[in-house]
Order: sequence, then C-alpha cells, then structure tokens
Amino acid sequence: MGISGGHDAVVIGSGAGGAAAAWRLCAHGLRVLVLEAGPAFDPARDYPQDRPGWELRGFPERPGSRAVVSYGDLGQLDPADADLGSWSRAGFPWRLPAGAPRPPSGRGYSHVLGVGGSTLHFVGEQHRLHPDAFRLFSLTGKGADWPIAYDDLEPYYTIAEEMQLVAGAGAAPGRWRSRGFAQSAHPLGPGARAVVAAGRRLGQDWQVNPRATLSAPDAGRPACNYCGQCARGCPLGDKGSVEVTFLRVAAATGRLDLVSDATVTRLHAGPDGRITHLDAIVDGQGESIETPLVVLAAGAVQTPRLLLLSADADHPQGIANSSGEVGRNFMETLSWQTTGLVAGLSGSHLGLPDDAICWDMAAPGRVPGHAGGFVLKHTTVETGLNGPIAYATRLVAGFGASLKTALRARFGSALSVGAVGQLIPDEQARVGLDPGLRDAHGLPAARIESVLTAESRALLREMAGAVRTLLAEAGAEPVEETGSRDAFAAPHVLGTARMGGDAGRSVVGPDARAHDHPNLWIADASIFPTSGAVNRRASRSWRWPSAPPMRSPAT
Amino acid sequence: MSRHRVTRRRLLASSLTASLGLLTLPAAAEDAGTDAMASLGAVLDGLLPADALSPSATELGVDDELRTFLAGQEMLTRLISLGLGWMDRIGGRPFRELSPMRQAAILAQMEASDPNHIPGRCYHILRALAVEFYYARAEALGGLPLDPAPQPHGYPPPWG
Repeated sequence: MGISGGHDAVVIGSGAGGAAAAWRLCAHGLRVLVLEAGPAFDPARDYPQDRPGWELRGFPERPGSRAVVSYGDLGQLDPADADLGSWSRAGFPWRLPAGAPRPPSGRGYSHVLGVGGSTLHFVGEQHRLHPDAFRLFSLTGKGADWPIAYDDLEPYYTIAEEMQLVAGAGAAPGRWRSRGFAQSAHPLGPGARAVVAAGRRLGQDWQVNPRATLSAPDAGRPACNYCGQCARGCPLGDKGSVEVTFLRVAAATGRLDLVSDATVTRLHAGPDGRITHLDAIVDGQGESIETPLVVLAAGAVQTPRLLLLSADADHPQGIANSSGEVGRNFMETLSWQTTGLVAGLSGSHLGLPDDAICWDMAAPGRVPGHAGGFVLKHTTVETGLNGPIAYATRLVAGFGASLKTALRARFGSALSVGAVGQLIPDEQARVGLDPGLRDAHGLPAARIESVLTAESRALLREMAGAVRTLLAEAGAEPVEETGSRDAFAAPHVLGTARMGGDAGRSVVGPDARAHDHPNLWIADASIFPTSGAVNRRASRSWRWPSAPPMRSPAT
Repeated sequence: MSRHRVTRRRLLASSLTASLGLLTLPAAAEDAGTDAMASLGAVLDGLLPADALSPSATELGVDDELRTFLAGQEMLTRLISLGLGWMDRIGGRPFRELSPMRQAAILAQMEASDPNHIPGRCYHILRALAVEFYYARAEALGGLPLDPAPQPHGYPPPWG
C-alpha cells in the first residue's frame, strides 16, 4: 500500500492516544495509516538492560527521538519559596541564586518521539480521574469543567485497561468500576510496605498502584521480572507500552500501516473546513497525503505546534484555531519528592516503580484552601534509587573507605515519597512557535512558556508538607528534596487544545472533534481541560475507544 | 552504549558552569606545572580506595576512562588541572607522594571548602565523575545486593 493513498484515516503520532485511536479504527474495519515522527526502537538493541553500567543509561536517544523545543518564560526562583528548593546531601552543593530564571531540567520536558511515544519510557501507572475532577470549575470556581463526565468515560477506561492488561486491586476511592482489573495486583516492595505502614498510622488510605505491567504471562508477553528499569525501556515487553498492546493488535488486523521517521509538517483544509490532505517528510522526501479523516495525536507540545504551523490565508491563526485557544492552557507537572534514609530498612531498591499510591487528596476540595489536589506515591525506584551511583551521587556523602562502607550499609534503606499536584494554567502558560529556532526540516520549533502561579506554589508547599510528614512518620532522615519550584521538568504535559462545549473558548468538542474541521479529531493530552492530579497516560488512551470516527467513519 | 554515558556525564559536567560567576579559571599551565594530571590516580584512589570487597578506582581503570572523557572538554579539564595543581602544592609535596592520612586530610579540606572556589568545585566534580565511572563496573559491586545488570534475571519476589 502506497503512503499517498488508499487509507480511510491518517493518525499522526503513535503514542498513547494515537495508538489507541489506530487500534479502534482498524477494529472497525478502516484502513489506517499512522505517521510517527520518531524512529522505531528495538528493545534488544536499544535497552537490553543486561550489561554493567546500566545506571548511566537513561531511555536511549536515537536520531529523531527528541523534538527540538525552546523555553520562554519559566518564572524566577523566588527567595520566598526557598523552603521548596531542591537539595541533596551528596549532590552538588551550589545552587542558582534567588531571582535567577527557573531553568528547564537538563533534558527539558520528558518525552520520546518514536513508535510507542512516551509510553516507551513511562513506568506503567494507569490512573482514572476522580469524577469531581471533571467539574473542577463548578465545584471550586477555578480551572475549567469538562464537557463530559466520568460516567461517560468509564466504559472506555475499562476497554483501555483491558487492552493494556492492567494489574490492580480494588477501585480507587470515588472512581467506580464496571469491571475488575485484567490481572492481579503486583506485590508491594519493601519500600512501599514501609510507606504504606506509615501512611496508615496517619490515617491515610494507601493502595497498590494500578499498573500496565504484566503480573502473569498473557497475550504472548512474559510476566515482569521486576528489574526496576521501566523508565529506561522495558526489554521483555511485559510493560504495556502501546507498541506491544494497541499497535500490536491493530497490526494483526492487517489494516494498519505504520511509518516511522515520518514528520507531518502541515495540514490543509478545504473550503468546507474538512482536512483534505497533509504534508509530510518521509525518509527525507516530501509527501502529500490525501485523507478523509485525520486523528492528530502528537502530544500537548507538538499538536499545537502543527496546528499553528498550518496557518494559511483562510486560517491565519492556524488550523482548528478560530477560537485562538490553540497553544493556550498549557499544564506542566507540579511535582515534589523527598527522600530519606531509614535505619533498619532494607531492600527498598526492589519492586516496581511507583508501586503504592494514596488518593486521599487527589480530588477537588480535598486540600483545604486549594481548588486542586494531589496524589502521593512511593517513588524510591522511580527516582532511580536502585543502584549505587544514585546513592553515591545523591544520598551518601564523603569519600574513601568510609564512603564505600556507608554506601553498602545504607543501600536499600532509602525511602522516597512523591506528590503530583493539580496545576491550573494561567494566561502565560502556553505553547507557541519560536521566532528563531528551527527543527531539522527548517520549521519553527515549539516554544514553551510556563510560570508557576502563586496558587501552584502554595499547593506545592502543601504537597511538600504532606510528603515530609509521611516520611517523618516512617522514621526517615531527609537527605534529598526536589520539586517544580527549581526546575521545569514535566513528565506529563497537558492542555493546549482544550476540549469544551463552547467553540469560541475551546478547540475540540466533547467528542474530541475540532470545532472548525469536521474530519479532524485530536487524541492526546492536549485536549485535557484540567490535569486531575494523577498520571494521565491511561486517560489519553481512553478517549479513543469512544470517539465518533469509530462509530461513523464517514462523519 | 558509551554514547549515553557521555551524554549523562556531559550533563553532569555542564553543571560546572552553574553559578560559576564567582569562579574564574586561569589557564591551567600557569598554575599547574607541566604534569598537572600526574596525581589524578592518587586522588581517585583517595576517593575510592581498595578494600576487602572491591578494588580501587585505578585498579578498575577509572583514571584512564576519566582522561578519555576529559579529552576535548577544555573548561572541565582546566578546572581539574587547577584543582590537582592546588592539591600538589598544599601538602608541600605532590599529592601522590603524601601519606594516606595527609591525602585524606586534603580531600576533607576540599569537601568542606566553598564550592564556588576551585578546590571545592574540583572536589565535587571529580568525586561525581569518579563514582560514576567506578560503580558502572561490575567489580565495584562487591558487598552490594545487586547483580552486574538488572537483566536477564530481574529481582523477582519474595523481597525480605
């Protein structure tokens, strides 16, 4: 099948949203072309995890697997927030001075361009938003409401979880389920058990974190062997990243064509508003691809960029942007983490990353004085504290024989708790086009502007307080803290093509279809009106089993 | 996979320039003499000596790896040369010729010093690089409850 024709739909992006959309379209008998800007990874070659030195290897970079992005105003380091500064006992002791610009972290916002998208390096958490999170504005006067409700989505959450064979136990508070989990829950590691015990002494309700990681073999994939390297790439295929779940099933229909290293550079709309064709660069060659239906799923940074890049005489603000909302309402990840050393604890380097979770504060109104809430998680393994380099460069100071002795004695006694909070965007938070920086194809790069508001910093302080209290209860001696105050480091970015019922104030409607273009759907985190204080990867997949093109392809 | 190691270490090394306004780096040759790196091995072994469970840094070739890594990184090389030069002077004799006790005292002095001056900054950068090269080697894991690599066996339960 040639790339230039013969497909019923084109899906742009093969991450959480694009893969789910492609699967659903294929399952409904459509011939689907997926265009993925990044490369295809080979686990055996790219992340085998079977050689020494593994701690130094993050998720690999391959040509084209990182987008060119610039950063505008990210705020300044306010001395009034010095209590939220990052530090570690064994890390570099120098810090940026008060008033300095808040920098992006070393690698900027966390993402992968590639077949599977950022699910390639996610740790597999599968969360549902709290029902009240869909009514944030109605309940608090802050943020926005969704034009849909939890009850609308529950069947599709279930489909997405079953496709990814999510392992879990019970329902998160308030989030009713029509079915149980596909697999039994994973065991808690020693660190999680310590956190859960401390939390329960404080009256908190801690649970096993639902995970798209196999606790038993299924679908031709092996069970997890708990190597703890989910974020560095899963070499076994037990982690339910979408290239081994949605895309694999879609390919089995025989109706999927997936082209990697294919960058879409422009969408074209006809006089009736329908997207008629798109421009792409495939293997260095320009292609013009006609399509009756487009699903755009490039993520909360690249989706608005492509829409803005597609401006023409009839759409001077860009495609799908008659409201002027494309790029606005960007949400970074509000996060905090404290690590302590606990005398008598051992084995905290074992188990799945983020294996235990507390939802108590993860709904609107749960944190007094704040519209949004936050989730608490056990994060020792997620933060990389499962190897000696992390211990020696972050937690255990000193040198010589005493360093080596202390490292052996302390290894496995670190305990990290993290919090992820609800961020409510302001007027400054947006993704636009950089006026100077260009990508490899000569096109303007995306430019991120995101300043933490006073409200966000106040919630961050609540998050830090809750984490510190919990670790104190666990008997931990604090040795490291990191948070959003000191660096922009967003593993989950949202907003920028908001879903809403009012075409003048949103980009897509309740069915995720663009208000301005009847055959353009957006299927990624850009459509989220609010962040919901949880990890949203599952929620990017859920939308796609429910979307109209799967019910009425010709719409 | 060395590409990834270098990427991470380059990030690490780039922190050299963070808040470096207070720190000026004169040309190394002006201060450090003709063999500025001669004490590098002794310093690395002072940071990570041999013991009953694992070898020293130089026994694992950390000094050679570090020299290779530094090639082409002018500012970092200059900083380390200046730091080593300071270490060779502060004890009255080259660092490598001092007793282990005197070497440890100098390292402790550097650890406690202002990180915005050369001895303090050099200590932290050298220590971080040494630890990264050292504990990336399977031989360094003696006494730790770890396999040389996470796969192929993983760490299945039961856990303690």
